[in-house]
Amino acid sequence: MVFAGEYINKLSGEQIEYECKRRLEAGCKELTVNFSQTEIINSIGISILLGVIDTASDKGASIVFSDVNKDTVELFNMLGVSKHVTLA
Amino acid sequence: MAEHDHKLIHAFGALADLGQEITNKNNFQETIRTSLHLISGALGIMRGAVARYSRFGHELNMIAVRGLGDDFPLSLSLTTEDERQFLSNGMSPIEISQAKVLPFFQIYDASFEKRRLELFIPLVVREEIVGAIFLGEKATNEPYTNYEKEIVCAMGHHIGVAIAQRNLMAEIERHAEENRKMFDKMRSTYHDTVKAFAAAIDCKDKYTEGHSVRVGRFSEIIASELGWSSEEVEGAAVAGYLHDVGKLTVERKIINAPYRINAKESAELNKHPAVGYEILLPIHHPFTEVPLAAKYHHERLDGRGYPDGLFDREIPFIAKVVNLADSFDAMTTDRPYKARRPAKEVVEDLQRNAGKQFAPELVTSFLGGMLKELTGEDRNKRFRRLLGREYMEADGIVDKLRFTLNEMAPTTPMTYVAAAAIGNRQVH
Repeated sequence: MVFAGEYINKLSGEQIEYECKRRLEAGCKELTVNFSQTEIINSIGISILLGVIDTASDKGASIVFSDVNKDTVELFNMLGVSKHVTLA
Repeated sequence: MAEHDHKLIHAFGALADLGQEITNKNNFQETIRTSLHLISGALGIMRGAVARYSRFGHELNMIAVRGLGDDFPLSLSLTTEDERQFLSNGMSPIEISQAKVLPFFQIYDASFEKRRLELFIPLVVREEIVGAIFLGEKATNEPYTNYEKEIVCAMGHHIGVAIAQRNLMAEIERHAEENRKMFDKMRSTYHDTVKAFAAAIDCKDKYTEGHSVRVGRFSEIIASELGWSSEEVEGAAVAGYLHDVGKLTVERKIINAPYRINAKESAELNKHPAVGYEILLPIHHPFTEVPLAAKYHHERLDGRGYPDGLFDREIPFIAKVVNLADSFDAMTTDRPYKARRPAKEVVEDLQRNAGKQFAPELVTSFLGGMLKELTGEDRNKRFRRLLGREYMEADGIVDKLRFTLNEMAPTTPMTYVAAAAIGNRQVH
């Protein structure tokens, strides 16, 4: 499981991306990103998460976004992120 | 709040962030990479790229790529003029699936389809294509709406301006480099001209052949010992090379007289500093003090010099430098009426006349430079080359220099110790 921080911007987004890609490279087939601490995700953060989803898809892995707050769920729904991940 | 409004607020947030990113003086490549993230994140776009247009190769070269895979071409050619004209018409997003009539989209069709690229946005600034944005499918899998295309265009405009600015900077840097090369060439031509002038001046006087060139070199040594910048040292050298340019107008028989010239001839010869000034003044020298050196190089600190009988502080510093160099060369070269004087005598003469004819700080700097060369502290053989090894390495010259420098600087720490002559005692 990868834990996302309070504010997902370029810096923290790239840290999540690094951790996720490291696990996917190692052969992980179900990756969970925990958003329990996350309050805000900016556009760069969304773009980086979409990149992680794309990489996982290429490698045949599924992604779970867990403990996502209501506002972030709305954002994910609006931008289509939720179509590619399981929200738990 | 309606979802449409949410989307607008989210997109405007990204647009504001993009404006800030572009105006920050960050690394250009990083700025473009972040800009691509902002477009993708604003509209939920799965993948894309930003390319910069090269006018020379007519290519779109990728500068930021997201999710297009390793096999996606990093350089795409815009082969025909028609295509380039078409794309320069304006910043309207082109739906790639609808644009296959253009050769560009036919050639790269397989690559575009493989990564599901849907939109191509030419970046046009001042009616010139500067780059392009490629965008893949949205995460919603829905087609791009008109308002989303407008947002992409607005953001693309920022990116286009950033690329155009970068191109402009590169152009300015290239011009600056060309100017620098041209300046170096002109400088070299200027120095060659100055040396040619010096040779012309020296040609007129068969007894003092090479005098102007040596005065230039000695002036250079003094300036360098004073710690002047390289440009100032160069200026001092030029002032030395040209200090006697006024002699070009003096009759050859006076200059070459193999005897001490009479008062009338002397008056004629003494006009040369003022004439030299008149000759040099209209020339735009990179070193503005060159004409002053010519005019005042025969002035003395005690006011007994010519042409104006100036005193110490009235004399331009560059003229004091050239005066010392000029006198030193006169003492150390054979003249028709006078043989060169031994180095030790010359050192004594400089010391005796420091404060009368010569500025004392110049004498100590000059003699200090000579001592450094003779003791091996300075490996440049500047004095030896100009005066000859035998002359410079005469017996006792090193001790003489040490004594003289100590005497001329009694209040400074006892730096110049005549160890060879008096053991380890300090010299007072």
